[in-house]
Amino acid sequence: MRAAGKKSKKDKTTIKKELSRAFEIPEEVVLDIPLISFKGREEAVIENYRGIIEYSTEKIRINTASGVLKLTGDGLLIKCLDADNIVIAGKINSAEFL
Amino acid sequence: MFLALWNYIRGYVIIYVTGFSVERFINLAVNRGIFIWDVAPERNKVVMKAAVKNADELKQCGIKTGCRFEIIGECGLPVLLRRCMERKAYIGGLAAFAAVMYIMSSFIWTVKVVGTDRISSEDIIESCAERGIAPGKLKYGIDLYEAGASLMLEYKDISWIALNLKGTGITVNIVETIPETEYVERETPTDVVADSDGVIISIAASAGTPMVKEGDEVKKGDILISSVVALKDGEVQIGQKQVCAAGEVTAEKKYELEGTVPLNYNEKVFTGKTKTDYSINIGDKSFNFVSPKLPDDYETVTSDSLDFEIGDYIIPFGINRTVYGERIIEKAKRTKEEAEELARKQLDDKITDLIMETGGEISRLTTETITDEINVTVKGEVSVIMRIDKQQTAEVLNEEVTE
Repeated sequence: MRAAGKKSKKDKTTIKKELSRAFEIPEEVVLDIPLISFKGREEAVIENYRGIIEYSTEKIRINTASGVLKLTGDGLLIKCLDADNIVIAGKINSAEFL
Repeated sequence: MFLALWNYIRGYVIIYVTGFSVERFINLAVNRGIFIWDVAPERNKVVMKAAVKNADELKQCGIKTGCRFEIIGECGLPVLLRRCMERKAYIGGLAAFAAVMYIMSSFIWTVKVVGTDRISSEDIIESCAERGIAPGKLKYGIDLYEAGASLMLEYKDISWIALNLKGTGITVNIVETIPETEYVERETPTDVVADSDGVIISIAASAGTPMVKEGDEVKKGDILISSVVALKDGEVQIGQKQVCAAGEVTAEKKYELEGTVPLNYNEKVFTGKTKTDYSINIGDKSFNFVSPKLPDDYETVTSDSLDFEIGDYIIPFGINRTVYGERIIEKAKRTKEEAEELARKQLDDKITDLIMETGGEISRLTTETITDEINVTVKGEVSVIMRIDKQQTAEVLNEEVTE
């Protein structure tokens, strides 16, 4: 039984989600979830990431609010990165949430 | 593209990061607000680029995460400027060159006149110089339109003028007026007199009284058409008046011409030996530094010159090359046929000159060839029919004119 008056994290998230959907605000802005855009299979832009876990030319693992995103491919390089966005270039073979 | 440009202007460093947790290093740097790009793993290191101003912070990040941090290169505008400062003479030279080019092309170097026939080009160039348009003057501040207008006022023969400045040369384009027709004085009494001797072929008087007829032999100066005209009432002459006589009178005159060609002559033969001389002209002056020694029997064979232009800029600098060839005199002999042919040609040339001079036509030509040991002569007797009328002011007769 949950203590009365205390809302859990899950509830908070759901409320935020419902509100953003109602007002049609992009969720990644409100909820900090990542927005992943692929340009073909040559480039991937991940907005709203938390950090890099692992980096090599075949595998990149990125920590996000929705979980760890693993990108595999050949010749992967980080084109540029700053606090919120990371752009990965190279031949991307797969993208997986772990 | 703009990002790259911006980063280039700011200047950036290329760094190698080696260590166990390169990812931690990147995360730390990024969290501190440092923008990193072109991250690529290379063998056992990771290479990346970051702005120059962040170099110190990156070093700290490296220390914190236990990664070895190495700057391998620096790129961008600040680096370029630093290098320029080190090579001041080079940059100075470049700037000086640009300045000199600009200054040199700010002057007028040549003035050219095109389209003149009756007016002399030198006069136009002198007039331009009076108006401040001459080689060596600044090309800024000259009003070409005004100059053209004032030139047109000065010279009555110019019907259209345009001054164009292209690069460093001014071209004056002129179109001249059609020459005025000459007015014939009709007030003064004039006779028509003979310009040369001859036998009259035809006489057609448009004004005045004819004094000669076909077949008459006249001498130079004889009056052919008189200005005195008789006034008649029926058959009776009641007076006379003087008019301006005019008309066309043609006569035939005989000329004797000959062409002589010697059988033995001296011919200048080119041996093939040449000497070349080069000279430089700057503007109007000519400089000759090294001239070959020319013995007497060397003569000019060819002479050409090369002027330089760069697009619209005419550089008054040229190279002249003169080739001198050795010519020796050899004695040669012509055959009688060759000599006669040459003599005939000489005679023909003389006849052509005569026709040009008199403006007439040949009516008869007889030739005779005389050959002796030394020369061959072709004698010609040519009859030319030409106009011999010439107007001359008549003596005013002080007689009353009765109507």
